[in-house]
Amino acid sequence: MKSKRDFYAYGFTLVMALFMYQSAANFVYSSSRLMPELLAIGIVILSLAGLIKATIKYRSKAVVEEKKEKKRHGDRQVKPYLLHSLWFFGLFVGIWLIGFLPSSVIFILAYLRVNKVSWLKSAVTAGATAVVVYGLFVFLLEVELFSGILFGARI
Amino acid sequence: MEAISAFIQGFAYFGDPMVWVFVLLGMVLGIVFGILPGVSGLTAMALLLPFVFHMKAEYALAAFAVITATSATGGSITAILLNVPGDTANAATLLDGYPMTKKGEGGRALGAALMSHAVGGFSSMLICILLIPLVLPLMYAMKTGDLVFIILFAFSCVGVLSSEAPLKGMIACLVGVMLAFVGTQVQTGEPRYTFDSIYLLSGIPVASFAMGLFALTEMLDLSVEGGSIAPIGKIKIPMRMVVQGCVDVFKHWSLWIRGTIIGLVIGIMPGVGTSASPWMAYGQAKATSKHPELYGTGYVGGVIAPELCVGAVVPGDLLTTLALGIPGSVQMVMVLSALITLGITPGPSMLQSQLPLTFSVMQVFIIGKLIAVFFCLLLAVQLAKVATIPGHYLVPLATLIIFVGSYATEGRFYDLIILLLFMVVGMFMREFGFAIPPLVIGFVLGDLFEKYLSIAINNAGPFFWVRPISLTLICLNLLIIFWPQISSLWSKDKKGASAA
Repeated sequence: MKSKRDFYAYGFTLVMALFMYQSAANFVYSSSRLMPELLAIGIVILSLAGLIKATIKYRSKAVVEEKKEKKRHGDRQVKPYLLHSLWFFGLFVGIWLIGFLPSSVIFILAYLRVNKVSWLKSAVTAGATAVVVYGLFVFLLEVELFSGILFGARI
Repeated sequence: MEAISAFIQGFAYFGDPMVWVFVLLGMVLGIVFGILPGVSGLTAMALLLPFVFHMKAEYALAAFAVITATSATGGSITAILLNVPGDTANAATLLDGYPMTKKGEGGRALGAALMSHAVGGFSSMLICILLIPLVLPLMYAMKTGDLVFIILFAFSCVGVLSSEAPLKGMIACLVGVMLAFVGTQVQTGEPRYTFDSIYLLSGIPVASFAMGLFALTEMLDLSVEGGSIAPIGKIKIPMRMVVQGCVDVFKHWSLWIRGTIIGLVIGIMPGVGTSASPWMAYGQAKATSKHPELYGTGYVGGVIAPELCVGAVVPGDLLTTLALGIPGSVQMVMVLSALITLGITPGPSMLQSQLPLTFSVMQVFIIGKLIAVFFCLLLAVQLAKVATIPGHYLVPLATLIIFVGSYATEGRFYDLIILLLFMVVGMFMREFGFAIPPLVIGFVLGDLFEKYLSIAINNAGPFFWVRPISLTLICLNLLIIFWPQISSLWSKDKKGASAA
């Protein structure tokens, strides 16, 4: 429901702005404080305006219509996004543990297999991608890639 | 005179063969990402952003300018041949482009669309180049205080105009400025919002921030929704028809003039966005046509009008980004991020100190566009097949490049955390209806805003704004902020008058 979501969104920005204001109040120099404090006040005002708007909308007849609409169509699916984002986080954890090269092969292979690509195609694509990325960054741009904490790399 | 010599110096950059390599790289990336459904030129730019650190300014800007020039060019091919717009800007082309293909006039539609692109882009950029000598004296007259209001103008435009929810747009913009304050304050040396982290002392890295918000969220979308379209059958495009389409553009010279003007004006206006302009051009062409009933049935004028506008809108957008530091679209936010990564401050100071480079960006835009159109005309059918590449091949490859690129920028593992953090922020912003561009613009310009403001106050006191340029900019700012109220009053007056 849109107005309820707006309510949460503005509530979040309000809390965030208050936290920013509080943090800015601890800055030593007034010139460091001025802009963050002004901006935090600005966000607080805008968030309050948004909250009032969302509350009025929530109580209005329009919400009844929205509820009916929601029953008819359902909300946007959040679950697939959470599931797919797991792969991104997995890749990150993989890089942290075993470094870029092994984790890129493992995670690309896993991604393609989950998408029902054949073993052969998945293995070739994963291998080729790792070679291209390694060649591009390590040989061409001379970047030292992270080798993972399990292999002695330091963050 | 200075502008003319800088314009000639701009051509000197083309003597370096590496510039041509980056022009071709930008062209390939722009066309391919423009054709692929689910991704856009924006993703291409985000992928290129981490490499900017390792490039000379002229190489990086050549690649970025050509991507902006070509991303919508490829999109028109799939819109006409497959009824799938590669880029949102090509959506209006569907109305007449695909019906023409069904009537067996696909070649003519392609010729007309691609030639319109070239003609629109060329004429619009030519006008922009001619405008520079006119705005140059104004840029020289500007003082630091005026720059504060130029940035404020950018914030107002993007916050109010680019978002469907202006309140959320403004909040996003202010939060972006706040994020720019993370790190050591330049004047006082005091750490702000670093939470005792040494990593955050140098601030949030622009590349990881932009890639997380734009590229990684786009990859997540593509991963969830998939991004390929069904394989295409055999399409024949006779060269005779393509040439006929090209000639059609010059026969419809009034559409050429109107499309260029609409595109250029909308491009110059920050925050309006490029996706609305082709629809305006299409509507305007239909409304003024002697045969409006032909539009939507596969009429060549319905392809020429929106595509001319798509071609003409980017130069105007590029001009405001380079000359004022105000990005008019999300793509220009990436150009702005690249400029800042390269250590170039966009805006009046760029026109003053880097005028030959500015002209070179504009020249490379025209050259890149013309080459891209030529290639697209020759290889249209083959290029359309790119759209059939399944998304599940693209997602892991692009994601890996984003991860490695983010790390390679400064060789810090924490940059990957920032990357993922802003992917999550981007997801939540989309879910809760916040526009992402205002956040990025606030972030990119936030530091400059604070710097200019403190210099202006130190130099001229709290009344630094009592100057004709500043006062004009303040009025413009107020006009933009209260535009919704003014326009509603205006329409009420009009309705009242017509009722009376």
